[in-house]
Amino acid sequence: MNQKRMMSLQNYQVGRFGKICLQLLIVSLVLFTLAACSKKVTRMDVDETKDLSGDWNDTDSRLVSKEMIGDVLSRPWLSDFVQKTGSKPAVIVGEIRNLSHEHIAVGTFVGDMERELINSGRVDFVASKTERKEIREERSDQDLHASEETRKAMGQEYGADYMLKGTINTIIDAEGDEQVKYYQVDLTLISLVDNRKAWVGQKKIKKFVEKNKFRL
Amino acid sequence: MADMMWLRVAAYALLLLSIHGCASYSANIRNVEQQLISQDYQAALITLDKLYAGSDRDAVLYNLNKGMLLRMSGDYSASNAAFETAKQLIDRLEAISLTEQATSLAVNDQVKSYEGAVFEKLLLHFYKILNYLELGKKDEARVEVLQVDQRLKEIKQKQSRDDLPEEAWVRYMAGIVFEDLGEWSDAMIAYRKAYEAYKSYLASYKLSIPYSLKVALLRLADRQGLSDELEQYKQEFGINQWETIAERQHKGELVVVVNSGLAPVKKPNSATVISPSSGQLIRISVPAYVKRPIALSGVNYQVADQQGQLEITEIVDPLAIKALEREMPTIVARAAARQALKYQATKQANQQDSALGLLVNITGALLEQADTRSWTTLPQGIYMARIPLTPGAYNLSLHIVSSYDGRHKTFSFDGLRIRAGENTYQSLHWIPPNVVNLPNTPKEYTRVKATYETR
Repeated sequence: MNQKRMMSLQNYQVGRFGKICLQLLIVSLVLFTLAACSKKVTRMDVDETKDLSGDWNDTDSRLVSKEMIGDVLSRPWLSDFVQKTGSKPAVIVGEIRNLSHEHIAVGTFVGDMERELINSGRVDFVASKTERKEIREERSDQDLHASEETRKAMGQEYGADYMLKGTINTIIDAEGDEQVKYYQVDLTLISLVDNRKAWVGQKKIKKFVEKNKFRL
Repeated sequence: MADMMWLRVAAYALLLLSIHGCASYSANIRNVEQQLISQDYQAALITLDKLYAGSDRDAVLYNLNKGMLLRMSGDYSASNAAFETAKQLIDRLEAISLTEQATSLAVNDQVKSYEGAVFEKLLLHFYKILNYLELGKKDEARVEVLQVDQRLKEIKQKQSRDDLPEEAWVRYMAGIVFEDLGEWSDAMIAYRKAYEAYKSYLASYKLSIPYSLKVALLRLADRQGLSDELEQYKQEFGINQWETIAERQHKGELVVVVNSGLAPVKKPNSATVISPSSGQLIRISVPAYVKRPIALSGVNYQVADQQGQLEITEIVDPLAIKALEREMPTIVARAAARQALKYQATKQANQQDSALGLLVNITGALLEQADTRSWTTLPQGIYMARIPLTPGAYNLSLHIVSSYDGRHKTFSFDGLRIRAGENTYQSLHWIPPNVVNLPNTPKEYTRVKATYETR
């Protein structure tokens, strides 16, 4: 085909069917470009709730820590302990097992709880197992290298009175594109002296998730 | 007129040439596979990145393959990150895309986003579980096990399938995870479901119930006090002796998983004909699975004074072939609809000008390409052994009898720590050169973590 002929091809009247095809093509092109639009970032307040996937998110984590902190500080175990011993109880965070359907970052609400409880001034927290290991390494290093006055002795650690343990469970009920998700977080404070449970906290969260049947 | 004829012949010749030159997925991925057999995982990852990193519609496929290559290289955390991305994309892709449906009718099936077949979605979970187990994150593995359960429920509900052989292996793995965590009733349920699925496997594809599963069923039924069920299993399996949970209390278990060979690959099956009535070129191209050569004829293990054979627990070939078979009516229907559309377009264009008609006809035929995408870095078969051991450090050696050259290869893993009441997991990927069917000389296939020797 020579160039002249190619040029003249463009001027041909395209049939009705062709027109529809062309329109479809343009529409889909526009849709694709829209989908490929560049990133847009909006700042959000940390307390703002925005549910995207229906999975466990920051709002759930916040709700749990809020409920638990309020509960643990208002229960009699705390005043009982102070009355009996005359000092603040020391708590250590044990294992919070994730027995749910989702990979949940448990550390976030445990961290929230720890902060609130320490800052309330009514409970002491003892460093966890992994944290302790690092501190001990530092102490043994000090033993060799730090000056006499600043050196921290071994065997002076504060023993915890209670251990905080817990589980996260989920129950999922699904039918077609609809899903009800039920989360239950249970936290327990167990006395290290006699294994008695001093406090049990519970938070339940229920969500209804609808999946889209269609997408672009 | 004669002039037109020549043009047509020339155009057809051009078409046939270019079809051969068209790189399909299965042709592209061969570059990755070549690097796999020489165990150059970093190079394979780079090749994969070059091929598919930016593609939206191949994003699931890219992440599945990437996850697998990363796990072969021993980077289990990064592997799980890629698998997680794939999983989330799959969830999103389950909604039907309107634009993709329309364009796939006009062009071909390759323009659709790759969503993954049932067996691929389930094996994705299995490899995530295995990654977590090898990382020692057993609770995370448990999360994944619950997700498999959810996925299976969804599949059964949506596709109304009552026999699901794909279920067998993932359920068995779920049972192992639950038993490892000491959750006896959940383990029992998972083993029971695995047993039922293996039975449906047996009916359609001849994969028998693993011996280790039979023993696990006896052990758990005994522990749970299910005496009727225990009696029934004893009768059916003909096994009268097994280690009870109490006897195993002071022992640990070494779970060895060998992934052998590569999953089948899809090749285009195409037919090009000239319609006698209209003179139009009609081309149909649909995918068909091609099995790869068997990678090994057996794997034996030796640890301390114990030795034995690994059992085959999963074969991917029949699952893949059956999945495509199930999908075929839709693929063919879409191809037929596409042909009708293209036929009309050509006819319309022909009425305007025969050259334009020819152009439309050839473009249409050229675009007709089978969708040959599938998760090709999956293994062909999965072998497993569960070895009870007293606590301590052990050296494990695996002897693979290659079906490629009949030689024995030995892989050793040193210093595996066994703890009482817990499982320790060790996996290996074995991909001999013949499974990629390359015209080359045998290469040395050493694994980074393992030493290699020939007996």
